[in-house]
Amino acid sequence: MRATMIGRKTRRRGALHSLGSWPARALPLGALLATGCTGVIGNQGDGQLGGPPSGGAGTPAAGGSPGTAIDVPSPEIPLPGATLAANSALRRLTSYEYDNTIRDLLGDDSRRSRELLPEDNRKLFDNDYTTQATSTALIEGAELLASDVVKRLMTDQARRHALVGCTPAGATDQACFQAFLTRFGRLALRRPLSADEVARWGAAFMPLAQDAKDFYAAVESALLAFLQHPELLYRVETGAAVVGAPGIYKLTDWQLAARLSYFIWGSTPDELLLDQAAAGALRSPEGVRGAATRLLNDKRARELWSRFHAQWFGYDGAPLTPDLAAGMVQETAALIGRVVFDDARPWQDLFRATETFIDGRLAAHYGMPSSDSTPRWVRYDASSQRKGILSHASFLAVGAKFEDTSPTMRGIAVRERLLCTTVPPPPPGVDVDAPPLDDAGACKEERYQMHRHGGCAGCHALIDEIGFGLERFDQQGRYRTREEKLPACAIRGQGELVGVGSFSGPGELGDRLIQSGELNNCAATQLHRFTVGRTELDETDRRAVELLARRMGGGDFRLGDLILDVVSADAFRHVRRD
Amino acid sequence: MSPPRKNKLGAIRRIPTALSRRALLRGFGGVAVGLPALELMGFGGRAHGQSASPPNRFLVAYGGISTGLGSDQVVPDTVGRNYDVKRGLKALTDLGIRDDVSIVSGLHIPWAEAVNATPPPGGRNRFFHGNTVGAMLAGTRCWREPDGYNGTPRAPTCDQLVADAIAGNTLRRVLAYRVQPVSYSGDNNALGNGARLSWKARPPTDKDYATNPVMVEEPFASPRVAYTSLFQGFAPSTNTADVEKVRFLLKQRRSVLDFVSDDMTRLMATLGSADRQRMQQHYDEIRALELRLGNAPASGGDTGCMSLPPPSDPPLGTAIHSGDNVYATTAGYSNEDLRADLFADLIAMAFTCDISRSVSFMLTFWKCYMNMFQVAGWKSDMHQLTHGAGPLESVSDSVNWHLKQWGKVVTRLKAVREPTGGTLLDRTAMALVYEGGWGYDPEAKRNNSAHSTENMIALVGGRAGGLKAGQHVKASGKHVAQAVLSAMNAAGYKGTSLGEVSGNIPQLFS
Repeated sequence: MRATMIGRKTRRRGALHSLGSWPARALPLGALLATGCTGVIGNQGDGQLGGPPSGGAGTPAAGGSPGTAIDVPSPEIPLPGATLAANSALRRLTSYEYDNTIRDLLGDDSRRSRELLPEDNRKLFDNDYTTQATSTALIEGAELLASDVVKRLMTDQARRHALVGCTPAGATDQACFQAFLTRFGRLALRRPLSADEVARWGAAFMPLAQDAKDFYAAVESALLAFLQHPELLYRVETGAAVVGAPGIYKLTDWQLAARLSYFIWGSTPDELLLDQAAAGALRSPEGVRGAATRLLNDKRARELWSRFHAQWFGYDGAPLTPDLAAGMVQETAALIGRVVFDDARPWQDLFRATETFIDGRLAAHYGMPSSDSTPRWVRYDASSQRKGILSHASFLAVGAKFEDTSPTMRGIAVRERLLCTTVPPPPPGVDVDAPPLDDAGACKEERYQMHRHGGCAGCHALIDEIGFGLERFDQQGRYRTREEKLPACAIRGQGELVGVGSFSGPGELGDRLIQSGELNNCAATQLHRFTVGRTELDETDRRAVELLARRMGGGDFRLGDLILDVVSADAFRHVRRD
Repeated sequence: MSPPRKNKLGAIRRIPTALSRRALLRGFGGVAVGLPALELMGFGGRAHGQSASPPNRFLVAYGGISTGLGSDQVVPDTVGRNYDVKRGLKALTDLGIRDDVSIVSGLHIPWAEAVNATPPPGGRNRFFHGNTVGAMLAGTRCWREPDGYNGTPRAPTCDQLVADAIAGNTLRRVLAYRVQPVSYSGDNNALGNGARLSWKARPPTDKDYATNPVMVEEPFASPRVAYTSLFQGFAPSTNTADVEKVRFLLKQRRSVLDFVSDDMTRLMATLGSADRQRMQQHYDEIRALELRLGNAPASGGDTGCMSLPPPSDPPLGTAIHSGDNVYATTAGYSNEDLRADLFADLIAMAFTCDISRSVSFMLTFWKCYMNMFQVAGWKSDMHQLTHGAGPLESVSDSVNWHLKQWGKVVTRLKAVREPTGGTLLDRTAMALVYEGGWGYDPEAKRNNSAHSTENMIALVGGRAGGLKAGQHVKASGKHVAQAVLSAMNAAGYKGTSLGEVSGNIPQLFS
């Protein structure tokens, strides 16, 4: 296992790019999109910073750029303060968070939430509290889920004994039960239970032990109550009103610990984090940064941030060749793990990596030379046009349509997800579900000529051109030079990120995205959406994003450092309630 | 026939001998289960003081595909009785239910041609997907969002209106089930209202009432959760140990829920108004569950309904939309056939036990991406088949697949004998509608499209309220909602309109 490097010191590359230092070619990107389309289009955040990437492509060991200088946050640009705290509300744990919480509290990794609970609506990330709804199906599903988990625990004597932590002297051993409630209650509700509360829990459930003549009947009942308790199912962030700042509330130490662990782990705080909260160690930015550094060095963070990228880039749940799907998912997770955690490389190396983590089967799928049965890092051939995450089957599966790639859908995915521009819906009279027209054997680029006329042309020129640059890679990531259904049609594979430059293949598209100077601003926007659990941003959010983006600068940044910046900001320890 | 028995309230109810328990249980796990040691319970509306006369029941089902592609293989050539069954309705003969079901053809939903125009009453805007549910099941126009996809009707759906009329004191006013558990579309915006069919009235005190007078009745997509919800409190046998165990479990569950709801009350006092409202919804649902548990008898009764073995949920399928190599595997399919079996059993027993009288049964999402290779050998998903990825036969097979799942409920109900004679199906009115028909598509402005609400059909089953089953009714120019309204009227709904659509289809009645 590689040593994780989160939290190490970064090297200062130089002064932050000023607003005036935008490269002339980066600026028109949003403007072009805005003027060329029918409808409203434009960057969601404004005030982007830009600048040419310092790294350049390809470096030895990881295929990334270990020598790339990092923009170190400038002290002149502060982190978002309390007045930029985000609007928030009760956030119900997502299915993923609930499964993780069960795993970490009870050692049960059965992960059945998705089967038993209704799925919330999703726009981008699955933690959008504004789309969460309560229903009979949810309540009864949650009850059954809790019952299943507790039943499994109660039949596993070793696990049960470890959880209870004492051996009951009899069916009604109050002391043992209270000790259990006190210890487990703090973990489950993410705050200590008062003596009165412990007594109340005891009074509610000990009679069941008496009734059943079994101490564990009380434990079982209490566990069922904990797993359905509002303070477990929801993140309650009441906080305390801040004097002189109407609408701003400071989170309690316990609430901050929970916010921290769900943000970095997607799970409940562990004992150590709660101990740190109890000791007041989270009251300073340095304390939070230290605690967060420990969380980031845990494998739970690796999983959460891999998932974050999957939802951001849009390949979470993408249709993959079933017998290779696990390898494809692992390939991308390994790259994120290496860039973000193991080597703490610049985040932009996700787009630059010249090695990928695959086994022989996946290598054969990609047409790469490797026959190992276990995955290992394999270097791309320099002429392969592959480099980084955009070369992975996971990403290339995004936007597949009619059993083929869709240059339009790929272009929309890049524009909306990676550059944070809004692409308007198609104009009237367009049926996006209609299959490609059978134009007597016309090649794909010819068929897409219909997009280049009239009201369609403005947007499609900016969208399709991205997709056509990826056309030599099919919807499962295989290289191709001819259309599968029309072998007479050679695929050019040439595209353009309008306003930045032309490219051929996913490797060069990654370079162009970095070069655009808009990737960092979008990263700040998407990270903020994930942090606050809301896709729609308000004016306060936009100001916080702008500040974060300015600190990031236009060049390389490390995601781990960015996360530490976010959590140590005053805005993170406060909540706004308008 | 078994001798009649009296329940505690004196209502006579006979054990349903026409129903083979073995047959009823067939769906659970897909394995024939021998007569289990499951015992009988007193339960439901009649046990709560209703008349001994069997009540009517209602079920509305929905399939998220269109029924044709320039033409169809669905509408019979023969009008009236003994109609011919084409490929798209083959399940009617396969299941032996043709004479229990009428097909209504020639239906439509009106539309607005211009992009921002207000649709006509009961109509849809020009966007197809998502805008026919409200028109068909609530008789209203759907709310229009800028992207055209929303699917929220402007009034409660038919299952809710029927429940208002006939639910009585049943424990579950409406049962909302969905067979297809996940969307398979593989993007991040897969669900939403595409997964929802039933909409209930929003309380006038709700802050959103002015802008949206309805709220969703979230469907159960897990047969296990649905089972647990129905059969809580049923003892697996009458022996003392089993009955005692169920009694304890009920007591435990009520204690837990009572404690949780108490703590919610405390917590709500510390919350701001918006959070309090969110928590209040959760609290209300917990309290409702507590009440249902409170009404569930803890020991065996003798009114003639029985529990079923607890089912297991088939594994969830993965996304589809990627090519032959995916279609030819298990992607895009969660064993919906078995899931439909399980739900059909639950619905039949919920009706038998009079736990509920109105059911919303969503077979597939609108714009359904279910893999048809799994069920009929076509290497594509249903949605793409309706856009030419396969021949017309593939669309017909998709239509037929939905009919088969709906038909499972018909066969179950037909097998249950009512205490006063006849079968459950005789006291049930049920409808099946599809997302679209085929014909003119105002969105793309072309003919012979599956994105059309011309040439639509509805299936109406059962014999409640004088329904005349087993005929083909040509109802040219009628709205789909009129076929639905016919089933509603047959079940006991007294209204003469559904939303903005008036009048049933008289030919469906004797």
